[in-house]
Amino acid sequence: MIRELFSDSFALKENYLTGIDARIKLPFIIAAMCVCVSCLKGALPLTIAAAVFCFLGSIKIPLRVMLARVSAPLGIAIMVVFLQVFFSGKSPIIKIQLFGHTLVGYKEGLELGLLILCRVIGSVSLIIFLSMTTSLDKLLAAARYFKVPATAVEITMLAYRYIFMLFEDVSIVRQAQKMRLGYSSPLKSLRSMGELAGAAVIKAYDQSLAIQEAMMLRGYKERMIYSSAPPYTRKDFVAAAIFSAVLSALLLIAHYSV
Amino acid sequence: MTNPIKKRLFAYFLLSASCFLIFTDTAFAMHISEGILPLPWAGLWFLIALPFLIKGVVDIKKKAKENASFKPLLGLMAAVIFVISCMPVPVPTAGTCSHPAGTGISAILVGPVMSIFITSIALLIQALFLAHGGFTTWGADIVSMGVGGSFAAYFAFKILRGLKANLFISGFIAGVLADWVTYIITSFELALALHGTKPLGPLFTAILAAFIPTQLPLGILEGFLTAGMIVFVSKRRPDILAALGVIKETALSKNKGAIARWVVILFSLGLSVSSARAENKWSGVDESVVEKVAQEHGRSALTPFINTDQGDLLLFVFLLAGVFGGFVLGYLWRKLFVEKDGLKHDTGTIQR
Repeated sequence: MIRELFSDSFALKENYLTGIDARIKLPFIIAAMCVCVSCLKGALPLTIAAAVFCFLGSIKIPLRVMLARVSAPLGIAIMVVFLQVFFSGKSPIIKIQLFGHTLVGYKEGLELGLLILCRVIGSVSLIIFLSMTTSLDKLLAAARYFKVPATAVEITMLAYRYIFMLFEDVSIVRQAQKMRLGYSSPLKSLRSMGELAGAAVIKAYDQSLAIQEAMMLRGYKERMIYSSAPPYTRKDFVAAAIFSAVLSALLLIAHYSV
Repeated sequence: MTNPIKKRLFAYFLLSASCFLIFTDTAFAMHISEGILPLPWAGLWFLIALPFLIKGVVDIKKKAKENASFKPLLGLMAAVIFVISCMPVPVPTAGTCSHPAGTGISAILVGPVMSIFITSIALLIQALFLAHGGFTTWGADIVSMGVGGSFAAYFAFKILRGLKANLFISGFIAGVLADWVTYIITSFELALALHGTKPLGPLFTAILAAFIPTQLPLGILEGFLTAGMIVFVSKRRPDILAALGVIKETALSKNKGAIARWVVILFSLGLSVSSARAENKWSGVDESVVEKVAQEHGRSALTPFINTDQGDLLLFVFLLAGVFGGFVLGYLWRKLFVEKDGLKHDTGTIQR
C-alpha cells in the first residue's frame, strides 16, 4: 500500500491525463489551488474535488488509494473544524458541559470550519491529481522550464531517486533488528531506532561519494545537462483550453452563488 | 490565572486533544495540511521562508564548486530525512503512531541553512506523494519544521558541545528541541491564521494543548532517535562526523601529539637510564643510601628471595610483562584511542 501511495507508478502509465504536458498542468493546478483556498463558499472546492475524483476514476486509480491520501489531511482539518466551532462566532448553537464549565459552539465558527474542510478536500484532491498524472521527472523538467534554480531541481531529483533505495535498506535493517528482538522492549526499540537512523546516514554518505564518482566518470561538471523542452502539441493546447474554460466556469458559478 | 479561565482552558484542551486523537489515526500533524491556511497567510509564510531557501541555493552552489560530492550528499540527506520522517514511532500516551521530524539530525550533520533547504525538498515530496503538508502551506511548513526545528537543534547541539556535553546528551537535547520548537511554531501559524476576530492567545494555547498528547512524548522519542543516530555513527564511522565538521579533527591530532610526546620522553628516559646503568655511572638509591646506612649500623644485605640477576630470568619477566601489556593495550585499543576521540581515520573530503 505504501508503495502505491508513494510511488509515481500511476503517473508512469499511458493515458489521456498523463499525456498532457506538465507545463500545462502545473500552472492550472496552482491557479485552481489558489482559487480553492481563497473561495468563500464550500461548493467550489467540493465541485473541484468531485471533478478530480471522476477524472482519476476514469483512468482507473483505485478509490482506496485516493481516500488513503485524503485521510491524513482530513484528520487535521476536522480538528480545525472543532477548534473553529468553539473559538469563532457569536450565535450559539451548542453547549457542552465539561468538567463544570460550559463550552459554547457557535454557528459562524461551524460555517468557517466547514469552509476550511471543503478547502482542504478541494486542494488535496488537486495535489492528488497532479501526482497521479505526472511523474516527478516531468514535474521537475517543467520546474526548470519555469526557471526554478537548477540546484534545487538537481537535489530534488537525487533525493527522489534515492528515497526508494534507502527505504529498501532501512526495511532490511529493521527486519534484521526485529528478528534479533531489537524491538522486544521500549528501551531496545529506542536503541534500535537510533541505530536504524544511523545506518541510514552512513549508507547515504557512502552512496553520495559513489554517486559523485559515477557522475564524474560520466562527464558531470557542477551541474546536470538538461535537454531543451519539447514543443507543445495540439493535445496540450486543447487541454489548456479545457482547463481554462472549466476554471472560468467554476469561478463564475462561485461568484454568482455568493 | 483565575480559576474559571483555568477550567475553561482545561476543557478546551481536553476537547481539542480528544478531537486530534480521534480523527488522526496516525498523527501526521507535523505539517499544516493543504488548504488550511488562507491565501494571504500562505503567501506571507512563503515570503518568510524564501530568503532561507535563496541562501541555501547560494551556499550549495559555492560548496559544490569546492566539492563535487556536496550536491549528491544533500540529495541523499533529503532522502534520509524523508525516510526517517516516515518511520512510525509508537506514542504510548496517545495510543497511536506518529513520526519524527528528522530536522534535528539534518541540522547537526549539514548545518541549519542546508538543513532548511533539504527539509523543504523532503516537504515538497511528502506533499506531492503522501498529501502531508501541501503546496500552499509549503512556506509555513518550511518555517516551522525547517527554520524553527533546524536552528533550535543546531544551536542546542553547538552550545552543549561547547559546554563539553557528550554526543548523546547533545544529540538528545537537539532532537527534543527540534521537535518541540516545530510544534510551537506550527501552533502559532495555525492560531494566527484561524483566530479571526477573537484573541490569539486562547486559540494558540488550545492548539498547542491539542498537540501535547502526541508531541510531548514524541519529542522525547525524537531526542533518543537523534542521540542514538549520532552515537551510532560516531562509533561506527567517526570519519563521517569529522568530514561533516560535527566533531573536530583537532581533538585527535592534539591527543595523538600528546601521546607521541610522552612516548618520545619515556623512550629517551629509558635509553639514558639503560646507558647510565651500562656505564655504572649512576647507582640506585638502594645502593648509595640504604645499603650505606645499613652497613654503618652493622646490617648487611640478604640474598634476594628471587634473584633476577641469575641467568635470563629478568629477560623472561620483561617478556611476560610485554606480552601481557601488549595484549591489554591491543584489546582496549579502540576504547582508548578510537572511540574516545571519535576519530578513526579521515577518508572523507566533505567539509561543511
